[in-house]
Amino acid sequence: MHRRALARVATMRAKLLFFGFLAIAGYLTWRLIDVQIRQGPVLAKAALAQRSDTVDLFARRGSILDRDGHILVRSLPSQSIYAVPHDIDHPDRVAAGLERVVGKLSPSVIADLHDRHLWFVWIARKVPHAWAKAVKALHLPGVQLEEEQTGRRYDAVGTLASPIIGFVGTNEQGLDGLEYAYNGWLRGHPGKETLETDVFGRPIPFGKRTIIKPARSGYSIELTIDSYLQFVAEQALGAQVKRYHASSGTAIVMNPRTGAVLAMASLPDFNPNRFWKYSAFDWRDRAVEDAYEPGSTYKLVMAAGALQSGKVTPQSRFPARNSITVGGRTLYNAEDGLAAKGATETLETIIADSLNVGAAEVGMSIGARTFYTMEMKAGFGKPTHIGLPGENPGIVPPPSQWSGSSLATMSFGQGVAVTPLALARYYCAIANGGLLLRPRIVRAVLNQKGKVVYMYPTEIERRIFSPKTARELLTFLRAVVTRGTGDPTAQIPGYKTAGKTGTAQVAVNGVYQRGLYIASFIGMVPYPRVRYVILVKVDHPVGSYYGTTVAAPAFSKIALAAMLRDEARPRPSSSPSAAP
Amino acid sequence: MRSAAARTDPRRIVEREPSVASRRSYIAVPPDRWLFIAVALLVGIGLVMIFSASSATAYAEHRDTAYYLKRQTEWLALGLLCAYIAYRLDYRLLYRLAPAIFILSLLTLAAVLVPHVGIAVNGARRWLGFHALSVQPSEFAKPALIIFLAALLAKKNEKIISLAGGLLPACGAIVAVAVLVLMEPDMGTASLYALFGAVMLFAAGARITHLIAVGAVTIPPAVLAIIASPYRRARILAFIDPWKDPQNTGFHIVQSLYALGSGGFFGVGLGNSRAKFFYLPEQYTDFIFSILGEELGLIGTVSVVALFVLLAYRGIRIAVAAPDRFGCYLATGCTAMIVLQAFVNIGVVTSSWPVTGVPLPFISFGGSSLIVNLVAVALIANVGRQRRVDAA
Repeated sequence: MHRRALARVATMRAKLLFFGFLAIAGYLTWRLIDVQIRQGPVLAKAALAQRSDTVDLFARRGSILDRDGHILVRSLPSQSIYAVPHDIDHPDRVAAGLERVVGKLSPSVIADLHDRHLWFVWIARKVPHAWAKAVKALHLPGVQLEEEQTGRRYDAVGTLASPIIGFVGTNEQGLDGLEYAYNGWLRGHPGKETLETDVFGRPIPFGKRTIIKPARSGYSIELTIDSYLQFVAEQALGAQVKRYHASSGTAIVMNPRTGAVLAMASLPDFNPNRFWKYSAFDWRDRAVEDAYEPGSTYKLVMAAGALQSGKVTPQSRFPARNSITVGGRTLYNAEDGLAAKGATETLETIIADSLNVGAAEVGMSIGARTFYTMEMKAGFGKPTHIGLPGENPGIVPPPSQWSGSSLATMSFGQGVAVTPLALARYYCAIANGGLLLRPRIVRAVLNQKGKVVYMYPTEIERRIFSPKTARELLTFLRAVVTRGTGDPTAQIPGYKTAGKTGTAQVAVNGVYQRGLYIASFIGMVPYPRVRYVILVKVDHPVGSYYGTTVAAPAFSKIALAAMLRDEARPRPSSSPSAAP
Repeated sequence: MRSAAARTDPRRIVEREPSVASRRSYIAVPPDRWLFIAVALLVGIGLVMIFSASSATAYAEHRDTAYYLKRQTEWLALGLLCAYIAYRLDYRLLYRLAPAIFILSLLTLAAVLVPHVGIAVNGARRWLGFHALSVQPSEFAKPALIIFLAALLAKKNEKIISLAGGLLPACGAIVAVAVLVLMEPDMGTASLYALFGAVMLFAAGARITHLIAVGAVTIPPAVLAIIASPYRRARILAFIDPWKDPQNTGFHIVQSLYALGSGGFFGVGLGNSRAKFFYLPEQYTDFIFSILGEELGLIGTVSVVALFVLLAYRGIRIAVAAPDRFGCYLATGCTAMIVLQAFVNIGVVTSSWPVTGVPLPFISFGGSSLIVNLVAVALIANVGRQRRVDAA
């Protein structure tokens, strides 16, 4: 080949080479158009789907407030602490820092902190705000906080009213008490949000967030509970329970004109913030869950039946005896009752001195039908529908199941079982002139802005006896305090009280147990225009077991506190139409 | 007659022995402005894209979003120094040094294969040196091979048209380097050597029939090697249909296409890539072009292709106007090396070519590649700086 020919070939080849490059560039451009423009939208959609993650949005659970709007329980957004061991250079230093805040870490967590291949490990879930703040302040590398989708429940008042309030589980679902019963209102409805995340599920800093469904906070409930009276009731009850080494106790304060429960104490109680550290025995709301044989406090049912039927008047006189034999059983006056005096006695004396023999005589004189009708009208044997979970209806057997002595013993409260709440409600009817009300513990439902969306009204179930009968029964109860079994333990300085003592032997499997008693007192204040019906019940006291010594002092404390407070701050609670 | 031809067309390539060239025969011309602009833009785009694409990884690994940008800037400084030297020296010096450079290159490639000398990453021995300052001899073998081939072809001159006298020795040089790299194993780089080696043989005037014959002998064993190795076979299958196994073998390609497709025409905006949040592997090295496509769209990707075409055009132009055959082949080889690597890389990320670990020149993160490509451009410019004015 000639040299010049080669030169020409080389030039031509160089040009060909360039056109070859140009052709490849053209092809690649076409490929880019194909991928970026023609297939672009489809690919972009697939890529978006790949990095999109839908997460729940936090919804706050509603609060529980007392009748004055004070917070009892409230939820706060909560944070959890987690670590990214991959980012931790000095795991021992980080672990030491964390332990200063959250306490001792488990060995497995510490081992995970040392594993640089790990991208995630929980340190603590739903930690208190102070912990989150402290961890943030430490600026530990590789330690992060994450918002939880449900909040952390804080019971602001600790053990106060805990058996009523109940508690929630880890996901804020109500498990007991009002938290359980009103879960439908209280619970928040978490929203949904789509966000862009990286491969490890962490949000991309500038990624788009789209709310699919906004979160809706739960409704709050306002209780009829008066925190002050609740506190006083718990203190007074607690003092008696402690003094007489009792196993448990109950105290109820009700407004007889509205049926509102102003206080409902149940001991022992628990701290809802740490409910798992207590037993189910402590979680019990004894005012509605436990039915007991009421004893002498039940004599007012017999008395109401007697007066309302017209078969007995306050002037009627019955033979005064200390024992009676009915259906092959000999009954005696109870130990806390006073001995019969004179030849005859009135119904007022039978109530005031708590005479069992007299009560049995009156009961038998009015007959089973009249007595049982009054029990039914008073709502015994059925739940009160207060709205607390696990309400016990009590046991009130019909006359067909009675034995020969049943009418006589039931007249003084043996052979039936009622809850403290049902009995307190009955005494409310005595105090309000004969109306049986539905007891209420929730006053209103509030929306997220605190506006009332539903107000629970006062519900009158029925009239169970006339105002005249009510007045007469009230007179009997006043006599108990002035000259009977409630004198002087149920008296308070400056105000007139009324009430009834009760001392009941506890039956286990149908046999009355020696030494096992329930001491109770149901009282009212002020007499005669009653604003507060107060029940106190102490289970299995040791040392003394009379209602007048074990229960009545607690009544007096609560009654005095209620009256003193009313004097300082009058409440419009004397008319049934007013707020509870 | 020779001088007459030179006078009538100063660009005409005049074959002569570079070693006997008199410097007085040439004048220095200003450096090629368009070549400089193209490379400067590519390097600039590279720095910006490395910062953007690597920021998430850099923060996760080093708590410093600019970690890889800083490393690349250091390499760029070193690369510019090397490039300046390569530009200032008379490229004819390389003609004499070519055999030495080539042998040195073969030795370093062999050294990589020695256990405890070569550093193994992911089962392949490709690195020499220490942890922070390691280099890839296969990168530096690229210019070594080009220099040696250019010298050989310039020396063989028209003998290239004979199979045994010209073509086969040149092929032997290519095969020697390729086989050493193949043993690392790094088939992507080896095939790249074959590719721009073939381009140089073609440019030097080898007979087309001979080139086809050489291809017929070498390509079947290469295909066999691919079929024999499971991971190479998987790569080819993934190239044919990446959607068949998008979580495994097709993962790189599918993620690359997601990124490019997300970019559309205008892109999602500089810095706004989502694929860089650990979805796309090698997002600031071999697959940086996908991030560029996602953030800057078709406008950005086609601009980069256009810059490489501009580089190719200026490179070939310089080669054609080179004062001697060595310079011509040197410029052709260097141009082919840069442009072919770019096209293979873009081919891979657009699923137009099977996945081979080839970085995008000037843009991908990586010191060895950046230095080599800057030196290659400097050599092209070096050749372009001199033009024959007088044949005396």
